[in-house]
Amino acid sequence: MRGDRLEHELSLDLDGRLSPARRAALYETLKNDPQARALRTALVESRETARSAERNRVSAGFHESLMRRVEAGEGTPEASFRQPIPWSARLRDLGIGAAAAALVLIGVQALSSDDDLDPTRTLRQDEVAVNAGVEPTEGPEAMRLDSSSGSSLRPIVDRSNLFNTTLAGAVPPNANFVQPSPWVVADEAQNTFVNATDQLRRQLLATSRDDTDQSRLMRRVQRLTPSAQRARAAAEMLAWMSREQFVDLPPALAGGLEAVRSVSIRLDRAARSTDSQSRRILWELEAAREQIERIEIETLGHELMVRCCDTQQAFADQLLEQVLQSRGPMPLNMIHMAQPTEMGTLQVLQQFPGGHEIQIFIVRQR
Amino acid sequence: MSRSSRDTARDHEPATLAAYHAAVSDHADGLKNFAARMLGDDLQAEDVAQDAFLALYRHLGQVPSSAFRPWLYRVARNLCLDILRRRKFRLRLFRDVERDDDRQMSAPDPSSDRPDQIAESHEAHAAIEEAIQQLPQRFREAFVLCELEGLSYEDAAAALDCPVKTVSTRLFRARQRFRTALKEVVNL
Repeated sequence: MRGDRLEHELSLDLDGRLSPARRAALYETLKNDPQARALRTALVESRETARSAERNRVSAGFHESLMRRVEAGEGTPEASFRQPIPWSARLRDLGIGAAAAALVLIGVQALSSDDDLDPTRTLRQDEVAVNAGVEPTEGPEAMRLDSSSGSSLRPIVDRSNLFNTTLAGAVPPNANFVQPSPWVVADEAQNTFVNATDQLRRQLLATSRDDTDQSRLMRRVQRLTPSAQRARAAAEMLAWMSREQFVDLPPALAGGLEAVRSVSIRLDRAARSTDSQSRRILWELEAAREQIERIEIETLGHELMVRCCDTQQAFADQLLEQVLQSRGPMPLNMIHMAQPTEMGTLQVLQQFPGGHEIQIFIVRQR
Repeated sequence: MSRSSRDTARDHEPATLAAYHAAVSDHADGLKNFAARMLGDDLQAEDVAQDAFLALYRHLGQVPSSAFRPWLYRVARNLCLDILRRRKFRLRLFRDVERDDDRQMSAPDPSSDRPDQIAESHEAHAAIEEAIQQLPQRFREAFVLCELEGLSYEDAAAALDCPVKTVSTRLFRARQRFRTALKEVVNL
């Protein structure tokens, strides 16, 4: 007995699933084959290791909260039994996939600017500037975030022809281009996060707890959505930068990211509720309200420690890799982020097929 | 509400309700565990567990208490698949920042490269989680249900809506891959 078959038999034996005859044959093999014995030991050890993994436990109020929902008359969740994916959704998804495969430009909305957008403004040629410089930063040590540091890293190069030929129509006309540095990105993301979370908090706390009218509830949820989306997009960027160790998040900010995430999940769920689920919407809104109430807005603005990477290009490269990585859902999701373009926009430019040039720019409104 | 929960609750036999509450106590952690490994998200996992129990409550009269466990896992799995499908084309928010911070692996200690020794450290837990997460979904489901939650092949087959033989094959493949993934993660 060799290879996969042996391992399959060992796996079955581990679970007591072998018939006496097969078990006898397996043990005969084990007796004569040291490699088989080693494999069995490895299987047993691996099982013990897996079982030593930490177990999640439900929170203390799980049972009570469940019974409250039962008492509130919540219906069977819509998704209890898997629904087939409609053809319209499949076609839409296929379209998105094809667009991604052939993309010339990916817009990634992640960075905020509170400036008013005026898409009707026309752009003068000299207003279009691209930072093409790659400047080494000051070493591997952590540096304090300085919101003015972005401007010092901005040698302006006129690439208006690039804008006119490739980006036209894809970005607001009143934009300039900045090579992203960790300082600029962290600063903008944090500012957006604080502003959007503050707005979301005020909106949520102002919602009435007593109104159970379904359509008014839905309108209220819809009004909360833009702030929630802005906060989420900015939080995504900060969380990614933290994972990649470009920034150290102060504990209050890290907690704020989690809280906003939880709130946005609640609001998503409320927005998806059906006509007969006004209690569910109320419940989700109440839970979101409780979560956001705990956030102390002023602590979210604590200074971030931005770590230096070797060069700005290293940061840009990693950002690009994150956007274009082939596995995982991130590229499509990041494209999805481009839809609300209220904030400054991070643009990834790919030129096919000649130059294979790939660059990332932060596009800011003027 | 065409049929309120209160009415439904009155309809249930005390023994059935007692079995329901026992199921919540016995299986809530397991369901959350399963959902957390499917979704990689503790918060959503707890909601999935709760929604599965809500669904069970609605179907108390139709599900024998002996079948509660596989039934709950089946509902939880379907809920997870639904969430994953919706998530596919939606912004993937941030992964758990703290958990990711925890994943920063220190250099492996050569004196502790046996799995049972490694398991003592905090990094080991992160490594185990990562190895589980690296399993393809079909294998991960079988692995979590049978290896971690201790479901029988028959119960897992009912939960996964597949033949028992498929469960045994997926479990064997999952164990194979888990071993390899764990070695890779530990050796990073």
